[in-house]
Amino acid sequence: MLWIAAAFILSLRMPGANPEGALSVLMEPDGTGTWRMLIAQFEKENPDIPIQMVEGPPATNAREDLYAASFLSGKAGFDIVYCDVVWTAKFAAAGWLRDLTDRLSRQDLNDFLPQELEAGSYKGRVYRIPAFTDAGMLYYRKDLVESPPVTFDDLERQARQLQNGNRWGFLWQGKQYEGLTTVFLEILWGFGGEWIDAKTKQVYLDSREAVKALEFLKKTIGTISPPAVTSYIEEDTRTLFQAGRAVFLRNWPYVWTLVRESPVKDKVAFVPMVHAPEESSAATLGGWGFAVSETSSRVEDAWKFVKFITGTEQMKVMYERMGRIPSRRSLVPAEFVPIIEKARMRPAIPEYAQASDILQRWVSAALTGRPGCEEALKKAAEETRALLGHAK
Amino acid sequence: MNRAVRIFVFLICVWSLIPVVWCGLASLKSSEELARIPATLLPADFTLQHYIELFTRRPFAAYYINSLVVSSLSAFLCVAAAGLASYRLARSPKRFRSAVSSSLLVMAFFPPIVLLFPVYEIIRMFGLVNQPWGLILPYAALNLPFATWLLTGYMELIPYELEEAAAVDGLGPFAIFRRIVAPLAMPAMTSAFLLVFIFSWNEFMFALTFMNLESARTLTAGMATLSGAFSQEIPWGLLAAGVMASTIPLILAVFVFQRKIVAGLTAGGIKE
Amino acid sequence: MRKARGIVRNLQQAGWYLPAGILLFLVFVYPVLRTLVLSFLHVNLESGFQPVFAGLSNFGRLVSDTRFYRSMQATLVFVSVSVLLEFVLGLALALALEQLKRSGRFFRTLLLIPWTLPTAIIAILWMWFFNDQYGAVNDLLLRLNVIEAPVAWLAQPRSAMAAIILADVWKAFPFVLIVLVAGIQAIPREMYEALEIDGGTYWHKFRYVTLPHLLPFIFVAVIFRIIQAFAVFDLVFVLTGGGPGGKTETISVYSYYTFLRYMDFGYGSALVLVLAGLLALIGWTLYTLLLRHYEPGR
Repeated sequence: MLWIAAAFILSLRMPGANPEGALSVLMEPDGTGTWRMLIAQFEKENPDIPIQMVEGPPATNAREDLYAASFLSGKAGFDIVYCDVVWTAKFAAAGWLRDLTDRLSRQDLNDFLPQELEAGSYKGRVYRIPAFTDAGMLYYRKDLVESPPVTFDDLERQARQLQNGNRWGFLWQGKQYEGLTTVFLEILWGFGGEWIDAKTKQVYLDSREAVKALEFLKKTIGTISPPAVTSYIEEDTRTLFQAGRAVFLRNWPYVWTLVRESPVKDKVAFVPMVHAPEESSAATLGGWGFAVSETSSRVEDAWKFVKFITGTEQMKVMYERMGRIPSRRSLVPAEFVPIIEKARMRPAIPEYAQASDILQRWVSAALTGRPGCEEALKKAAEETRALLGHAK
Repeated sequence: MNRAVRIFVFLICVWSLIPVVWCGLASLKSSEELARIPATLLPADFTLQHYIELFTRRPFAAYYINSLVVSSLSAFLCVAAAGLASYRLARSPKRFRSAVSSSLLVMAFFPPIVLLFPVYEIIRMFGLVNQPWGLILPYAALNLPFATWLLTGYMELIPYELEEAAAVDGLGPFAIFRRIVAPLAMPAMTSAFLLVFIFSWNEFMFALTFMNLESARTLTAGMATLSGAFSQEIPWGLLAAGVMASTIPLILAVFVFQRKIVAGLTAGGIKE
Repeated sequence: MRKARGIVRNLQQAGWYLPAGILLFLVFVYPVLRTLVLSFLHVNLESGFQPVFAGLSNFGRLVSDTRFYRSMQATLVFVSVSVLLEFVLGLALALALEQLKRSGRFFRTLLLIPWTLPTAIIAILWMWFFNDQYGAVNDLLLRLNVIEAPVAWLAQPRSAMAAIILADVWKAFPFVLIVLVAGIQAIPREMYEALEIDGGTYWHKFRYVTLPHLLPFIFVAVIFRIIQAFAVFDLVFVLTGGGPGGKTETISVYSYYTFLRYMDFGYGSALVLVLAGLLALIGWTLYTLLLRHYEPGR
């Protein structure tokens, strides 16, 4: 009975309230301590605006769901949103983000990478201010590869020649998750194909180019890529590559910082993703930014923080300490410019999460199982059309 | 024959316990040792590092308190409400009783996903998101059909004569319940309390959805969102420590209360 | 006067049911009605979360939704295989424990442990065991020379489903076991003695005494397991999230995504209603077919 009484008293305390009215933001796990450092710096400059950073799970879609659940609660669970490029349309369409268009200075508008600004916009209004940009690229072992591959055939041939019992030819991310979408898109675009036109909501997944792209990926499994590649995410592939167990690796810029502290440090270089002859290479645009929650009661304070964290100096720190490519044109390191130029946006539609799930499911199904590439893509196209047609 | 049976039982027990034992051992190994291939069986360099990290780097203590508070109160509320209802039910005409128990059965069979979103709307309406009561009320209600069913079966066995005698002594209906019936029904109520406590402790979907602040999470949801030091790396040692820390109370409960738990499971109602 | 007293007595009667009634109304009655209403509306991102009357279109979409059928298929595979295994294992072990008499009770306590542990947390453990590089399963199989190279269990549809089923059987068979042990203990000893005098074998005893007496218990255990397995969420959500290729996505997981990821509350409501309806149908059929003739449970 005493126990129940104690529990009852405890249940009445309010764990919901933020400490001393801090602004809260859900972030990625802060392994390097960089975010904590930047926040401390902000709090020093603005002692009246404490920030409460919650380290969320590493899986981005888990964080997306956490944000969504918190917005659905109707109260300001989080004041600031640490926002992936592909969430913007959904969150903005749902009315969860504050329109920040008029708060941006002309100078900022010109400095931010245009594709990052566009990816942070919905129906012409800016909701998300980019903090760093991301684009898929191809790392290779320069001690093994004489001239880096340009076309898909180059990649396949070199991988076959250079792999041996101890190392695989080509690593990519094949698990059913958002990463698979980004990999597939790079191949698809490299073959000259397209997924969804965000404006007309046309779906091109059953095109010949798409089939070629999927066939290319499927063919790598067990020949130049390990069979378990269909369960790998970024870190699985990076660990293997750093251990010298592969010749080529498709991954993001963050690997560049880490790989230079690894056993293969002087043996790695990178190029833009390969493409079909007569087409050009493409990179899937990634990147994260900050937005202000519509339900926040302290919009001005939240904006102050967003402005701070997307500032020039802060971006430099993110690059130096985490290898994140600044999303301001003036700051992009020269070696990454060719990659960033190739970066293309994933369709900015509110139904993005569902459309990507359809794509992942069918691509993953074709890679791991029975349905032929053509059949899988036909089904995926049908489902996507049904989804986008339904929305109207 | 008997030897074969013994070996069979022994093997199944090993299979049932080995994941937990393995996890317990792993939680005491250093991260370097955990990454070693092939894996070691017994911890070579013993460390409590992961447990310390669990309570210092993560709000694990808060998860714990939340789980304890939510499970205790929902079990209490559920058994109290079920106790009252089942006593009256046990004294009602048979037709009414069987009608009620079939509708309770239907509710007990309801997949929780059906209720998730509308219950969230209600919780939100009452401002209980991120509050312990936002889970206590749903948990108490979710387990109510089962608890009522279990208790009604038991209450039916309590002889009516006792109550008549008490009524002659001038006790009111509620006093009869409190002084005569409830103490007699205590074994069943304890069983129900324990089972509801376990179900609430283990619930995941509602906990994950309704509690979206770290400080409000219960163990199941907190563990699922537990992350490591580096973005993508999965912190096995930390997770193993977390699994152990969050399941040890249940394992102890099994040893202390196994009779009650088994009785609850095999009596009036049966539910996972 | 008498009438007034009658009302008071009725109110008193109602008082006993009030706490339970309020709880059940808030968490069962209202939500079900609300879901019913939502299933006839469009409430989604496109409608800006404003309700728009949809008629039967949510249900129409469901009929042509291949993902719905696939999740149904995955659910059915999961339910049938795991419940069958749990039943076989539970029955075999219940009979075995009965042979062991006293020590049987000790083992029963041990076996209760997996059943009481939280699925969502244990699923993390299974995720680790099935990991291709650090997993204990591969480690063991490699040492026993059953496999030559590490297998990525969660990367292939079939092995991922097998992993989920294994984890479920591990957790849930003790439940079947405990119900059946209770059933066996309820069988009067004399029935066996009568057979022994006639020189009946073990098989005879099982066939003519144990099994007939055990049937109602078997039905209860199996029906409960089927209903619960149908709603499986925690295990799949944590272990595979529905992958690879969506082949392990159960109907509960699909519904969860529809609500929380796709924010399509109208369609999500239609999905869960169909699930609930199906379960009600299955539950009712099994109940009338199997249990009607027995006094259930006790």
